[in-house]
Amino acid sequence: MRVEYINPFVEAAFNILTEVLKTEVKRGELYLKSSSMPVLGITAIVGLAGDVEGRVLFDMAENTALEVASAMNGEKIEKNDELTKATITELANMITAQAVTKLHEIGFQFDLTPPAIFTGNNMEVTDVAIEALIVPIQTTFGKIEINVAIREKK
Amino acid sequence: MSSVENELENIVQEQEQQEEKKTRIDFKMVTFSLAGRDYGIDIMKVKEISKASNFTIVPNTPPYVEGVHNLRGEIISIINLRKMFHLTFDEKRKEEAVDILILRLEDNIIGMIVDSVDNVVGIDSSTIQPRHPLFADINMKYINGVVEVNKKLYVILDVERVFGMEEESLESKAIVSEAAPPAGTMKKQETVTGAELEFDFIKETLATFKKFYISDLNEDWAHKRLSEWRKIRKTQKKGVQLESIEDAESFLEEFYSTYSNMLWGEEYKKQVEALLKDTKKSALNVWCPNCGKGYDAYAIAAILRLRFPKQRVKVWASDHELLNISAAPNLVLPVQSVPQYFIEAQFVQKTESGYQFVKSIKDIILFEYHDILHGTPLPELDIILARDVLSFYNPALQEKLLEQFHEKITDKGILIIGTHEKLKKAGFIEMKSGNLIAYRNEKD
Repeated sequence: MRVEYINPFVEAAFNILTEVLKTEVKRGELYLKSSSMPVLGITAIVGLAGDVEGRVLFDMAENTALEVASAMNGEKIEKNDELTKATITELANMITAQAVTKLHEIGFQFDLTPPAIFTGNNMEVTDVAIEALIVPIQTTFGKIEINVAIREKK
Repeated sequence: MSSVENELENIVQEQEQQEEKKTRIDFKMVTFSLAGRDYGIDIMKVKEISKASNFTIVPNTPPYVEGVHNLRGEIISIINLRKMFHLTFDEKRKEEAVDILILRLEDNIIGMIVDSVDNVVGIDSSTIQPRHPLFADINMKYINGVVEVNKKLYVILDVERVFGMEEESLESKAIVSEAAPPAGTMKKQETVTGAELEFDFIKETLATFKKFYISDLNEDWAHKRLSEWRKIRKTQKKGVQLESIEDAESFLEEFYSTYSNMLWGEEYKKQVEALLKDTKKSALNVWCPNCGKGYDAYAIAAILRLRFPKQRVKVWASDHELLNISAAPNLVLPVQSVPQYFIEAQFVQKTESGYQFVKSIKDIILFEYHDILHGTPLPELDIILARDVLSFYNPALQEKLLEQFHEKITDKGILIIGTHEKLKKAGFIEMKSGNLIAYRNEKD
């Protein structure tokens, strides 16, 4: 993945999460992955188009998602309902949008697709012929993994 | 003998002959042509033959994937065989219908664009001759054999290998071949001398401490270095063996190429320039795998820009060390380290902290955070610049990467490896330019 793209995503994730969760957020070591990897439980996906083609996944365990949703809505949410899903979708949207804005400032044109959300157990994600950059983020609510796979359009 | 009897005998003979003929045909193949040559594919693998156009383009696919096609409700991937084998091709208009061979492989169905599908030919499988490098424009490993039918030579493709290749993981191969050597080393031990043992030990420790692997590629250097090393260590009153990472590092100090981790000096620039032939191509593509902070990428970009001012030059530079590669796009150079040709061509500008590259040169290079073991989807390349790259992969991976290089570089394209690395591999022809040794890719 083009190096210029990395920082905007890492920064946006860090900024937004710190802001909305109002809790300690730590960034883990970034790495590349090309084989299949397990999905933690609840995953939001946002597609990217424009100068590039690709997608961003926001992946977390169900209880992390519930805690995140509780923190963002200011009320205790106990089960994975429409509100939880809408909140996680919104979080994905906020982070990706901020990253795209930062990218725009340094001269790259990206478009977003509307986010979608997956839930389920024992899921896997595989990218064929493209590597994914993994940005692990540790919060007091649990781990959130941001998985970015984008590449230049030919 | 009556005429009836005669006739009967004839019929019997004919039947016998036919039967004989029938038993001789035990392999049927669908034949097609590609870039002026005839190829065959086992008919059992072919689902059907069709003509189609207007494929749906899919993002995130290698360049040879044309897209997907809806075959009566079934979605199949369409692969352009010419592109896959790096043969020349005309970019056809989307609407134009092309000949497609639809293959049924073990686990999926794939459509393959060929120049034209010819017919079905039955042969006796015992007449298939082993593959021979002269017969095809494509990589040997995809070929099952060659057969002559009606004075025409057909190259029989092993489609399972062609389309199964990508999934073969590099790691699993590496493990296998790493596990394999013991038999060989056992044999060697019968005649092992003290010096050989010492060399083997150095080999082991370099791999452990620095992930540096001694192989055919750098053995000559390693032997030379070891004899120097013995003298150095003697004066230091230390043992020959490498006991720490620091020892391994100082052993390797001499390995790195000239102008490693800095912009190339005038003399190296001239040597590289001498390798470049005039070309009518409109675009030149270069790849610098594991480019570190990107010095080599900047140097080759500058040289190509000066040499080919009218052509489009594109350099892909990648590294799997995030720290190095993130520094690359905004590299700042100390004033005295910038060679004159960069300053004269105004490829750098002075800032408070030192020289920085100007946009026109930066725009040529695309820096990527990328692990080359994950496979690299790039167009056909004119130059690969992999100085001191291969030695840091184990021999099985070296082999695999070289195969990848061989496939990706165009015919007569150039591969430059480290000053102390030497290729002993078919398909690469040595070219000398001063002290610089480079390799010309020869496609079989």
